[in-house]
Amino acid sequence: MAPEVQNMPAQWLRTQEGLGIWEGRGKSVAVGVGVSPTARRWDSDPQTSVGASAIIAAKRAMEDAGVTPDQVDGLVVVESTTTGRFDWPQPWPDGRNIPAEMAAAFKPTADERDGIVQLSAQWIMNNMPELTNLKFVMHAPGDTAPALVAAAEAVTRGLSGVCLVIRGWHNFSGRYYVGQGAARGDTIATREKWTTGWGVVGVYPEATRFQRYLHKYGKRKEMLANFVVNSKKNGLNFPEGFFAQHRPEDVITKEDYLSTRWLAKPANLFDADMPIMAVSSFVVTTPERARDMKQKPVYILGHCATTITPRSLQHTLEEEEEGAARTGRLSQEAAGISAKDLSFENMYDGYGMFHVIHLEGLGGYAGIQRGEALDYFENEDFSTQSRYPISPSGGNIGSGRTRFWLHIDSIQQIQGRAGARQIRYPAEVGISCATFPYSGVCLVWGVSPD
Amino acid sequence: MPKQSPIPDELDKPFWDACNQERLVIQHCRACDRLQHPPENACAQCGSRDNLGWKEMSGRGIIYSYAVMHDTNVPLLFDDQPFNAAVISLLDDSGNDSGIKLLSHLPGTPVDQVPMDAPVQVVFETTKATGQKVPEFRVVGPGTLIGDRS
Repeated sequence: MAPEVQNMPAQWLRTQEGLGIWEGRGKSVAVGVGVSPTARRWDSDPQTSVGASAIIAAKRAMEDAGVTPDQVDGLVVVESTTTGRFDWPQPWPDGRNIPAEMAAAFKPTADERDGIVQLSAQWIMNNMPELTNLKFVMHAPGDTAPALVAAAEAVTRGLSGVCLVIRGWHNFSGRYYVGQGAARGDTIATREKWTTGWGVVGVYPEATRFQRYLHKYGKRKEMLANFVVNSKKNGLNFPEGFFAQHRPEDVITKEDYLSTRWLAKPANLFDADMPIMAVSSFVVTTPERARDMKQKPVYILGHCATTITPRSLQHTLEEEEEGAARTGRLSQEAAGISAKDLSFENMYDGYGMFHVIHLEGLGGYAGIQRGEALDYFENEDFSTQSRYPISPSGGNIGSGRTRFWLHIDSIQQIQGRAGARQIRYPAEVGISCATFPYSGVCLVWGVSPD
Repeated sequence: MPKQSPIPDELDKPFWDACNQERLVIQHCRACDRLQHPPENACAQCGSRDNLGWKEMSGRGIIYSYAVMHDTNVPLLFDDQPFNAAVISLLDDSGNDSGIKLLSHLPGTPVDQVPMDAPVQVVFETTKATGQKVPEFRVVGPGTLIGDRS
């Protein structure tokens, strides 16, 4: 009998300072990783749907770890898969009935949206009958990071011995948010009346925070160029990523960055990540079980979550900086490390400016303090060959919007199999975090439990 | 600049009614003596529903930050791009930052020539679809131009 699907308990996320080292430190490990083929947009074929891609990713993760489906006893799935468009029903191409086609190709759930614009654990169980020994099944909120935390906590608490994590993204055709929802028409009745009513969207809040940052610290937007160029380069060395698979010629220069079109100045096109379709999967287990698996275990040393409520209309720079600093303190407290112990960092970059704030919030990685990241980008080597690599994954900017490259890269770096992205100096302790500095979940990874 | 006309609801009607009278009011919790915006059904600090009212503001503020929109998602504004979109810090009666933020197109300020920290004063614009007035802000003093740096 299939186990009941639980929701992740809120208390599994460590949100308070002063809790000390995480009691689960080093008691769970990531071993296997699998990623589906990527695509810019869905071609409406059930065999490339987010559901189908999830099956591929899960099989690849199990194969990578060297476990058989019957050895998996835990499953954590992120139900939301949207990159921005999730209206239902969709205007299906050529009048096709996509839900009916999906139901014919796969075993549906009671919700016809499953496998198309969302991904439930039940859909996975329906369509992966080879997972015969599941005892623990959970939905994690929002993103890969909380899903990995859920798996780590489940393993640490003895609820699962071998836990499979799945996180997918679907991306339909059409321009992102343009002329949709509240933006449509000449009146506006929803809460967006306070913001969209002035024509602002997407990157705007972060663009204004970055503008305030430039003003506060006397910096120039151009100083972000090397970071974005480096992220794009690292992305092209990520074989699982979108650009390495589909646009390997997309090398950009500093001049390209400075001449691309504005979205909301000072944010331009290359500051933003590109929505794609892709699904990732991870195998999380105990250090003892990992001994029999194919890949080197990567210890989960700590995790934390930060949420800063905005005082008013949108987060301010000061609130964002407070959130990043809190993430830095919480993550290092949980893992029992300091910023100086980090071999690399993979903080979030869904807009490049986020990475500036996150990086400074770590409180001393590469010696970088508040207001100093842009100077570091201009004057120092922070490539994978440097002493202090910055975003060796290339992040969302480098490989497309998934928010999971940074976790995958952290695991692969410590396993020593990041290929052309492999950092030069020993990868012993790393950190990954998504999403925003004012609202994100962070994991600390280690080569050993000590 | 054209704008979508906001449709008031039960919660925010006093705000929009005041705009039509060319007054700026912000939701206020009497128990906490705290302003909040956007308006909510309860005070975000004490949770009270019974102590919420509206406080008339001087309409003075400063430019906290801005961006120049080149890629809006609102078709009504496509033809007006690029345009300024500023975040205004509203000042309280004592001239201190009230913590409240509002957006503005800064009528009269050239695109990307936005003086950071400059003082602004509320004005009201009439939107076309319904005639609803909305708050806007005009620059009334000097600030720091950083347009050239960005």
